[in-house]
Amino acid sequence: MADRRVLIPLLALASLTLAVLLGPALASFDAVTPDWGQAWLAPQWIGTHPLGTDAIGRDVYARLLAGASLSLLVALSAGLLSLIFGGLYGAICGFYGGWVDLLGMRLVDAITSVPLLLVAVVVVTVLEPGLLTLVLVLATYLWLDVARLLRAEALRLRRSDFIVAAQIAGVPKLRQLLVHLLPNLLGPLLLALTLAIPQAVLVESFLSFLGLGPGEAMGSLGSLLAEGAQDLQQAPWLLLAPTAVLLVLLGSLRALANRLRERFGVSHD
Amino acid sequence: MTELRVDGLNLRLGDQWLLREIDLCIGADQRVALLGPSGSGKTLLLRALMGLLPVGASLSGLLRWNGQQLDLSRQKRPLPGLGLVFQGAGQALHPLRRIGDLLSETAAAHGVADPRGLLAEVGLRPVERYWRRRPDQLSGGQRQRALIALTLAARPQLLLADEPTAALDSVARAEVLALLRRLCRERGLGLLLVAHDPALVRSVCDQALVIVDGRLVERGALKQIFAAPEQPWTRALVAADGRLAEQAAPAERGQAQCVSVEQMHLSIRTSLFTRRRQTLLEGINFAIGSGERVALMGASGSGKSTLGRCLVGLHRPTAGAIRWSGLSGPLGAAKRAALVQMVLQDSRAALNPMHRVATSLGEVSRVQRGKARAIPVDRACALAEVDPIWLQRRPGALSGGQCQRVALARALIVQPRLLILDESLSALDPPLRVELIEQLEKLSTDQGFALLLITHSFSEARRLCSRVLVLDEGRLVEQATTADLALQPQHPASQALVDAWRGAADHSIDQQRRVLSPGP
Repeated sequence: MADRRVLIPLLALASLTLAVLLGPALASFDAVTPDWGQAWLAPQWIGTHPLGTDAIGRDVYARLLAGASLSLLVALSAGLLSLIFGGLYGAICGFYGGWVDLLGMRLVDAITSVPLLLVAVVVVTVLEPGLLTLVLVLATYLWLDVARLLRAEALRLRRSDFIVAAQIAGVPKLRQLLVHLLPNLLGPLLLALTLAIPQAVLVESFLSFLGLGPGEAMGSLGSLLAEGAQDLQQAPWLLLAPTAVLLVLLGSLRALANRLRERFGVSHD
Repeated sequence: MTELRVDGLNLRLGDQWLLREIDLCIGADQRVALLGPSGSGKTLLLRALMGLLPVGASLSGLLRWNGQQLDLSRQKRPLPGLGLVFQGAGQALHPLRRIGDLLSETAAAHGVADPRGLLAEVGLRPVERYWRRRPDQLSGGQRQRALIALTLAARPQLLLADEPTAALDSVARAEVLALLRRLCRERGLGLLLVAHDPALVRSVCDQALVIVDGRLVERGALKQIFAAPEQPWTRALVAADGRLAEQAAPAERGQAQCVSVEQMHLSIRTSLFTRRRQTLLEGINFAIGSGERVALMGASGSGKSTLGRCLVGLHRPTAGAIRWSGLSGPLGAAKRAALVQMVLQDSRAALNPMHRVATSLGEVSRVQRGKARAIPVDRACALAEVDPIWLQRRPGALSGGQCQRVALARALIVQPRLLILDESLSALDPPLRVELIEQLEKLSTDQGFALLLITHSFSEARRLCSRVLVLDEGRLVEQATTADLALQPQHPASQALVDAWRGAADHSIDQQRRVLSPGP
């Protein structure tokens, strides 16, 4: 029997992903075309705009799906990028130990000490505020936490009996790392992913809220929140809809992360 | 008279029966051994009696104790008068609290006036020194004593002890058993002692219960059971006991040398930034002849494993040399692996959990590819009696004994000149242990490899090895043949090891009051 604590967040994430992928095809409106004369329409059960419309008559439901898909795209790519780099980096530091570890981890500390939001704002303003820029800026920061987590695990595993046994059997160092250590880091890596993605979503939303995100016209969860906050008096649904999606997304990932942490006994923070 | 009586105890977890129809009766003056193979339900039975079961377990049965009758399915808290001594004292004691605080708290709750007296009673003297210590400032044996004192503070009439000596070396083990024996006699306590090694219980218990697969299969006087065992498992146990008591044949002299260790010294830097060093091994000199079987003994922390790890190249000696006959110059990892192999204590942990056994064994062949000496995997499996079916399994699906054989096969692939066993046998059930010892004896004779057995059990050493090296605090303090050491141990460390073995072997000896110097 599947664990409910895993099943519920997984189902929530799956339905969100499915909605994001299939939603636009089923919706009667796209995210950018206004339905003239239908501005600030409240949500309605029956009708053409299930979640209402915004100040210029764009369909909130369509904008929400488009925004969520953009946010998820950014978060996933930044998360995976940081996972690959940070994971390898952390595993190498932990596995080789000594000076490699000392220098590697001090570099991580140094980068961590620079405030993320400041750098993000500067970089995005100077460069083109596009999708790629944002993903790179996010990944630059997310890999740090991944590296820390994976380094701690690698440090533990490298003293474990099966690595010692491989050493005794004369297995070369590199093969110990690639064949024995890395595959056994899969669990913590999964945990790192569930921790990195919410962070990416949050930062992306924040930058978009400030108007520094990608796709001003299309909108992401963050820019939707910003619009919603402006029109809170007239149309509260504009804020409520993206908030709910963000809540489900972050909550599910958090729940999964907690479960994974229990499963793999990794301590973080 | 008080007695603990259990009728029709059943324990179920999910759809699996863990204990079936257990009836037992223990008088408060009896000392009963609870024997059984690993996984038979010994610990669970103890925990069921104490009301400490895992969530989801359903328990039924009747328990009578001190004139009360209880329905076990409703019992949720430990009964007064029953004291449980846990297996790992390291985990059972709160790591941040002082022994004295723990003791006075429990003593106050049970109205014991003199908690300090308890420490003296379990032999932690001078009391003032131990009163203020935390668990990590005590040695394993002292921790177990502290735990026993803590159990006594609850004024038990019957002690339930769950392998209280499993994590201890043989000297500390003998001391803790002597303590239990003395407590039972002086306080008139009953005792239910879980053990999987009969050598331990003989010195303490007079009655025995044997539990196999969750059922009580044999009960009676310990002597009776050992004299005329009825069940297959008990018979194997008694036979193993007898087979272990045999002595290894003395080695023929004038062999060629396999390895010699000269003036070896090992120290480690305690921090990356200071020059302070801690000495682990000092002035080690010895040689092992080819095909010779040697035991490396010593208390825990004496540096046995470290020395073994130096030989397989996991540590590089700070000074001195390890010379392999016929070889000179630096050794590469693969070349060294072809010379010397080591089987670790926990063989399941020594196998990559994600790899099938075949992959783990195949890897060694890959590393040794092109070397003439290496033998095919299936041949090594045949030697170590590894069932080919296991090859497609992962370590999690194998038992401890099966993993041990796989590890042995892995070591044999390279046809090493020296095989090191790092406490590889001590965690196994006695019948299996003896079987492996006999097999190793045969293998080393047939294949001609030398054997270094790292152990704290003199009975293992005596059974398998012709010569013993004794380590004490990083120094090699005695080298003697097994027979000589058994008769005339010279150094105090060797005496303690031999005494511990004698105490377990000869259950009529009931003195064992030697006060050893208190630990760090």
